[in-house]
Amino acid sequence: MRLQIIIPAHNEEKSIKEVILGVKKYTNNIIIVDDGSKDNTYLLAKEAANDILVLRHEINLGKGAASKTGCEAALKLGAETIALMDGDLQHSPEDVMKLVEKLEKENLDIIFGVRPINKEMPLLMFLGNKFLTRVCNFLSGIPLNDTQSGLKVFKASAYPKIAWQASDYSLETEIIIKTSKNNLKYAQLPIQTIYKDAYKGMTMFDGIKYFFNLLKQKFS
Amino acid sequence: MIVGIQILGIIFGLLMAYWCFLHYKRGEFGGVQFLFWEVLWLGFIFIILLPKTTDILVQKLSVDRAMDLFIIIGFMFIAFITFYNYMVINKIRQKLEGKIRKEALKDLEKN
Repeated sequence: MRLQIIIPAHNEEKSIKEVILGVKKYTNNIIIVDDGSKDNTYLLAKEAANDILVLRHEINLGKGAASKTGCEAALKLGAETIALMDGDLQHSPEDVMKLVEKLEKENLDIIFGVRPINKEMPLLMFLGNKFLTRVCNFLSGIPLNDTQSGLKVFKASAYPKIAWQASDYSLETEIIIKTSKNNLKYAQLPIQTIYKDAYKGMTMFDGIKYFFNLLKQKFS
Repeated sequence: MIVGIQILGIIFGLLMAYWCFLHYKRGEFGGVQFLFWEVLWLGFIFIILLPKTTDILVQKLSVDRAMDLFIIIGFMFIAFITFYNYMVINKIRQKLEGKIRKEALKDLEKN
């Protein structure tokens, strides 16, 4: 199993080094995709380790586009398993490895890390997540506890089937819909999440946009 | 007699025609493109000045008033432009994404 961990990052200079060093305890196969950051994310990622791949988008395209660039690089490097995680310390590297282990053990195509939907989650995110999760579960037929989590692991062979068009955060729901459409073998595993910044990442307005994107994906 | 709303329409039509002319002078419009838009805006002014000329069309389309016809055509035009813009933006977004990705992966391909 050749694992590549992809970390899309946009203005993550405060956390990127720590994320890289955390993941490096488990593997050196890390691909950072700096998505047109205006801060020093790219330089700090380069500084953090010499033996990882750091790619850069000249302009900010969005998480979906950055993740896709990472996946294409991973395939070129001969990856057999691909993990997607956030670059803001939301996810723990231990959880990534747990997902990888379960994927291998149960011979799954894809495994989703699901966050506990509890009071620790900011209120608007909690309500939006509840709503989108219900709609996504209904449309996809996949009963996930959290459809907006950015942590997931999949086999490289499954990538062509789930390859997303979304350049923004809609990739999360698009992957679920495509998993369902292609009858991929999936599972979910609870993960721990630390919420750092309520104004970064997905907002309420994004949620509305993703709702419509979800409908588009389902009926296209 | 020209009423208030007609004056507003004529000023709008003239400004748009002048804007097209500026684009043409700056070389941003080709001759055919310039001619198309000028005819469109001059036609717009002509109809505002002589709304009675549309009476035949209004009757043929079973619309009550010329104003209703303009509003319907206006909405259709806006819907078309919105859809057209959506398609163009989508196409540009995909091209841009492809180009940026290719650039990001350039070093990887060299190795």
